[in-house]
Amino acid sequence: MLTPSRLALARARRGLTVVELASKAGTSPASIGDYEHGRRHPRPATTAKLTEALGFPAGFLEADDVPELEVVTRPAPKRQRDAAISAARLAIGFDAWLTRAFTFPEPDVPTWEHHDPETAAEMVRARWGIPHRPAPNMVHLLEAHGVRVFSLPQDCAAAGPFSCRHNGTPYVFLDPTATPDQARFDTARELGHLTLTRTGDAQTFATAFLLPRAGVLAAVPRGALTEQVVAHSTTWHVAPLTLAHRLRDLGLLTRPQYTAVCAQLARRTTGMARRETSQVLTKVFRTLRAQGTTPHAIARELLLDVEELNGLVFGLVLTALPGEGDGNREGDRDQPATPHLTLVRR
Amino acid sequence: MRMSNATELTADHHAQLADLGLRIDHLDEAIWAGVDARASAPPLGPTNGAGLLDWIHRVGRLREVLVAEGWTRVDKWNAGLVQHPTRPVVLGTLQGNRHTGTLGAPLRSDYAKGPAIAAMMRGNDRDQFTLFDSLHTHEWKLWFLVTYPKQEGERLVVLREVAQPEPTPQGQVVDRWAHRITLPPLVFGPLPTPRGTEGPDDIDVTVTLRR
Repeated sequence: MLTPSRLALARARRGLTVVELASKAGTSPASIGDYEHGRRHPRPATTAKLTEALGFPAGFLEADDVPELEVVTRPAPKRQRDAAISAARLAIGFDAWLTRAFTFPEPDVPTWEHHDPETAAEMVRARWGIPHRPAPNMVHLLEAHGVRVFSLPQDCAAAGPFSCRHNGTPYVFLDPTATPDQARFDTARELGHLTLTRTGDAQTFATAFLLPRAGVLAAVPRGALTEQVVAHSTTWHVAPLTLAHRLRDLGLLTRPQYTAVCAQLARRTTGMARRETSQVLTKVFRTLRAQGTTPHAIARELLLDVEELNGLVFGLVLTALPGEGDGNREGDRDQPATPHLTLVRR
Repeated sequence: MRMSNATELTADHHAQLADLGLRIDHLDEAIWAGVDARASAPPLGPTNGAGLLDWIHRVGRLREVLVAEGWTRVDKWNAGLVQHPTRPVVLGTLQGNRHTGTLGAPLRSDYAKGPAIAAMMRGNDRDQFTLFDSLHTHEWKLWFLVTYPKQEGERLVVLREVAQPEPTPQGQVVDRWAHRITLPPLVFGPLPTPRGTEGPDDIDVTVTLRR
């Protein structure tokens, strides 16, 4: 029997209106509305047509409810925003599957109920034992404190990164199109969103978290030249412009110096060479593969196609797409397995 | 690159600069801009490229900060000067020698001066009025921010002073001075040792298979 919330989820994930789905599946918009609200249940043949029109594997529309999410994204067209939130709901379903198979660090993200993102950032750093030094890999750091980090699929990039808590577990969803520097900053900013319970300034939180006041004051001299800003930005693993902005706010660069540094930096190409990847997802896929479980098999168990699964880990893990040599395909069982590895992205 | 005064400025320094309508931060901004611009010289550019960029940005920033406080730019014959709004002070920049900033030591300009500067310096002689067209109604005194950058190991040390030359004929280096306000050098450097170029430090996240 079709699960109404699954139909709405799948339609949102594909960015389709009721009318568009009805047209693709050969049914009426009114029927789609009825199915999504549980007023009527479609016949099995109609469910099959809907499943095919939506491009999900058989059984997807008949599986258990997927939890709703309340998240705030950056302003984006409604279709892309709904698609991104739907992808996040699928990621949380994937995470539930992972949590049944693995144990992960317990969530340890404190909350801050006051209007001071700078202090909130210092509090989290102190709690996590990194008071003043450059922060390590931000994805690993969040994962070590129980945050689950996923990627949004490429078609959802317009919604930007966002975060939420679900059943006590904090989640961060990253923009797959962000540069390495931007992705690191986004991760810190989403940590800010998770920490600040009031409508706080997560941007300020992220800056203070990546560039703690005391650490920067101790390390970077007053009146740093452009060359010095670039050199220190590699130490702190932030974009040089981000450091220049912080130095101005801390009074270490005068406004004219800040302007000159920004102008010099505009002529350069600098920044982190590689995106920060997920240690949790890398270990999970490595362990599963050692047991003979391929991403294709995981996707099948989750009632997703492997492209959808790859979208949720895009840029976070070096993964293998099942190719022509995947011995798990029907009819290939007697053929020797010659895995076809594809470098997706790091 | 660290920017610091090698020794502290005294109240006398501040008072002498204030007599000219200047503050030390005006000078530091200009010196900083010049040194910062040095790094943007193309590797295969002319050998004096870094120094030329230093001069361009030092003049530009000095005039920028002073014009914002009411001074007026003076560009007669590309002299790159700036004129105080009320006092008889005109300020330019000059590259000195290794004696820059040392009182009593033989300070000399690095280059011979052209007609504009030679004309302006005539006003520095109390017995003569300047012939400089736009300034003919006053007895202007020409002062220079004199700097001299020198590499000391990994540090760049900028020797500095504000000095008033005596009249010097066109085509000669300036080596006679009516007044010198010698200042402690400004030190930049060293660049930090590159760290973390391979990316942020890693931490281990415990992931355990349940089954």
